[in-house]
Amino acid sequence: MRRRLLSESAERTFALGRSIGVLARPGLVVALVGQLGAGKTLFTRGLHRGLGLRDDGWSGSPTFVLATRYSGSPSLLHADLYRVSSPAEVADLGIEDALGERAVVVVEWADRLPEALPSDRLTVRIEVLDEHRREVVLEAVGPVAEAVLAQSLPEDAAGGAESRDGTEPAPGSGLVTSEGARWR
Amino acid sequence: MLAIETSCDETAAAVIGDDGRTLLSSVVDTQVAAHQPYGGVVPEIAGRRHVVSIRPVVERALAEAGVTLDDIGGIAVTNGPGLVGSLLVGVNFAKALAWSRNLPLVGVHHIEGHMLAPLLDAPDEDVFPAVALIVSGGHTSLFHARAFGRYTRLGRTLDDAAGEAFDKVARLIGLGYPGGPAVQKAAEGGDPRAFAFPRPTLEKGHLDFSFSGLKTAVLTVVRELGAEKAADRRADLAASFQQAVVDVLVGKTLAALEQTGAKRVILSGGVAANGPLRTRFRLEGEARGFAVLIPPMRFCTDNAAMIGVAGARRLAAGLRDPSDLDADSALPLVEEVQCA
Repeated sequence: MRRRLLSESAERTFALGRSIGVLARPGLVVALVGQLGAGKTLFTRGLHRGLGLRDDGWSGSPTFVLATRYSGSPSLLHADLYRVSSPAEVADLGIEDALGERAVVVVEWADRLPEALPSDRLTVRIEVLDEHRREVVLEAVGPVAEAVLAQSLPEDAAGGAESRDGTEPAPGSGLVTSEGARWR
Repeated sequence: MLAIETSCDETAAAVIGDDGRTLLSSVVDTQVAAHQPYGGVVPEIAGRRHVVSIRPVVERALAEAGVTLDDIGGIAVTNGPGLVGSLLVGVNFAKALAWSRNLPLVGVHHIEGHMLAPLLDAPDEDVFPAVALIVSGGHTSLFHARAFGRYTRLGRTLDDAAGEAFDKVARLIGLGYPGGPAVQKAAEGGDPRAFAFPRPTLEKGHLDFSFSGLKTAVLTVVRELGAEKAADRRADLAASFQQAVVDVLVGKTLAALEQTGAKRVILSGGVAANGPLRTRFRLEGEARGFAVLIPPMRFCTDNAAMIGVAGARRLAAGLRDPSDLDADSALPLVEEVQCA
């Protein structure tokens, strides 16, 4: 299952992350792919907010510490493979433990070692079009990821830029986030 | 007091005198060269190198101080935050040593160590209260440090640490690792006004930092120029980026001074080794009448001397940690230290 979206600003990339956070269910793995400066950490900050976690507890990029754990319901593990070099090191990041505890897991630079990640995952590719615009391709493989992506993104968030395999979402089918995410 | 620091890629040990601030020795074994080919610290390599170097580094610190373990009255060790595989080497070594010699053990928060580094050559009354800007590869935070053990966090980075932004931008513009010195060197012949990079979050009313927008702006310019032209203009790119980072760090610190009424700035952490940042703080301090406390270069980057100062304070305050002290990669800073 695949969806393609256009983000026209950093705020919208944040809002898309927040939408995924609102829709997420325990055990979801989000694999983020995109070059330096694409907006992976910003997307994750939105997702963190969408999960209902407090922004003053947000600790930013995990590149230095490799993985940051946020307690909540569900909890969030924010991991980063930027400096990880072997599957054994990925195993040390605590992804399996987090999934065992029904947390949501986000992995930045997932394309560095995709084989070390669970196969049921939502891959989010963020492509830089220009300074502000990003093409975002969401691809779900496996039951948990597909169940999340099968839900409509919040209607505001979906906007006109979405092409859900060519079909427009049915009117009124969108969930509305508690914070009224805007994604246009 | 013997102090040990292994939170990232430096294995360090130091010996501090009985007064808790006289430095008898400070040894730092850096792994930079080992990580250079990878463009950043590789945790697995870091952990393994710490295991190899911890004992010789501690032995050298004792020898240079002219003391033996019999003269040591306590052991301080960084127990977080940092890379867990690195932290564990120092923490386990310190625990074993403390247990076998029956010595008191104190865990020290890495950032508290950076904040207290100025106490190595100034009395408390010349250091506190102050606004402390701690900037490194893993941290970018502003604190109101009112006294030892009295800290209020005023702001932190929402995405990349400043040092991480230097590393990543260095990579974007084709410079080596570590990015800080590489960018500074490349910027020497460049025009800091050549590119109008954004000063993220500077205009907003809070004291948090954000460097990812700046990184994205550099990326955009590099893409627009194309690889060849970007390489030609590397000096201008480096100078303009560095200027933007300095503006943001200094601007937020000035706002923090205004907010707290403090008259001193402590600048510490690896990025405090950046020449233009140090110069700018000194100039602003002279112009606006605040004191700028920047530890000597070797005490800005990771070292055990600062851990020794912080550990001696904790020991003097009657604080001890149990022999099952844990390494915690996300250790929170205790803002109000309770004396025992």
